[in-house]
Amino acid sequence: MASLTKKKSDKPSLLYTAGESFLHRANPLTSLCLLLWMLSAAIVLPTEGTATLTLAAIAVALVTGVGKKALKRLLITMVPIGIALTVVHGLLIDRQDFAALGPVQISASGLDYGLRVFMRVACMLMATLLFVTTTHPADMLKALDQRGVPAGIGYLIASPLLLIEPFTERARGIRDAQRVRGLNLTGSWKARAAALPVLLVPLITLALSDLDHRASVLSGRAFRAKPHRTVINAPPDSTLQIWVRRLLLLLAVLQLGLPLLWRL
Amino acid sequence: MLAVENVTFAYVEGSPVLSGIDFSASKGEVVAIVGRNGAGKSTLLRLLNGLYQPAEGRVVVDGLSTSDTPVHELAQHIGTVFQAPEQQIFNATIRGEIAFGPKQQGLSGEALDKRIAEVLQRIGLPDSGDEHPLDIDASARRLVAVGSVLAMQPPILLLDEPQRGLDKAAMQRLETIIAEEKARGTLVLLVCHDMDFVARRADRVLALARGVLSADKLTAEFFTDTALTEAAGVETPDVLSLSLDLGLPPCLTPTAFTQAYMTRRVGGT
Repeated sequence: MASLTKKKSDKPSLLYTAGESFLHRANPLTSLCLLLWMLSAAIVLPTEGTATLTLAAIAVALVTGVGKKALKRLLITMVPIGIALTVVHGLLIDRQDFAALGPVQISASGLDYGLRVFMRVACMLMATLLFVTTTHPADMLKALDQRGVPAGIGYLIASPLLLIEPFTERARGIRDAQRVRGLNLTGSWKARAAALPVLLVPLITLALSDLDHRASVLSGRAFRAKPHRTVINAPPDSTLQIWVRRLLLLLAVLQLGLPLLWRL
Repeated sequence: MLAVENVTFAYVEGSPVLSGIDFSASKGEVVAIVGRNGAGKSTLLRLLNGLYQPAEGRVVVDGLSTSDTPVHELAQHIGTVFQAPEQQIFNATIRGEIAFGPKQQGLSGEALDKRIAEVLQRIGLPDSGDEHPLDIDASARRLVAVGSVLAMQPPILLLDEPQRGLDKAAMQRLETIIAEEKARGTLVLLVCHDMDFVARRADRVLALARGVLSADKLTAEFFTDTALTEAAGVETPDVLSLSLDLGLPPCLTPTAFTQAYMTRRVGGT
């Protein structure tokens, strides 16, 4: 019986971090609505707003116990983007306002634009990281199923997250299998590049052969059954969360819609 | 040839999956590693080939410590066939797949061709060298994976569930290969859930239970000790149960059973 009542924290997932915070306990649809609201806010807010929202998301991540993982990924992604934006918009694109700063010519408006883009991307990324680290994809799928969302759409939303873990595991397995056959992955960059086909060919071949198998398994489990299947262990929901979701969606629509109407 | 000295390993600090593992094995032995799922068998295998490093203790393979030797160098001394052969197949031909290991060892030209031909013969695919490994049946594909490791002629051979999914002919061929390797002086270690296979092929059994070595016995001694088999969570081989039920001496193979049975009949008992 224990295996039937397995908690979501027991299931493996590359990005999800187990926890008992309010976001972990929230219905996945509430977390999804929060994400949608944050994404829409990142689109319309000025730089100060996106910076504030990013800091708020970081604070929430730290409180919910996913801060370390989320911040690490945020930095890994944003540092190269920040450097690229600075070089391209601050140094390379001529906006007719270059000013000398030591030996280099810098565009203030270019830097301002780069910062705006940077903060917008950072805000969106942080919102997404907060979502994926606190919401297990399998629970997301159940919540969508429970709400009557067509199985195909639910699977389309959750499957990339569900597939990351087995795909990574398989990549590790292939790498190990080739290493114990003498493949040297510690040599020069040239040697490592030459080793790529040895690692990638089985990974791609297996992924392709999996497609048919996966489709058959889904069909065998009444994937597109009508009326909708019963959801076992559905994520808990509440009236309060339903109203919070409606509010977040309304805010998201207003945030995106009003500026558009205003411009019209 | 292989020494595992008081090895402890943990995926998560403070929660060891293997503790105080200590054994050694010599050339020409066939050693089976048995135990329940999650007992640590595959983890032990990865410690032996250097993919994992022990948290405590050390593993010495053919005189080399796995802690100080890169995996690709250890591969010259210890060959591994994993459970899923598809994971290693990348070449467009069986010949190319088998040639991969020896090429990493620096073999080329006529010597390489000779090595490939010999391995193709041993795995029963002498005329299939130019076929795609994914075009052949699953049993033959597993033998290609075994062959690709045999081609490196390692003095130690690790086989993870080698018998799984093999048809009868492929199983017989695998057993022949193991017998040949033993005769050549290769140390063969196999992780296995099929106790009939273990009884037929292994000289010695290492049983793992909850991360510790619960038994290190000769095969006959292990299977005739109910306490040991129960602790390891493994079944007694059918032929052994049958021989004991009939009051015969413990038999591990059908041939031994037949001999014991006929001896009794001739003896009139």
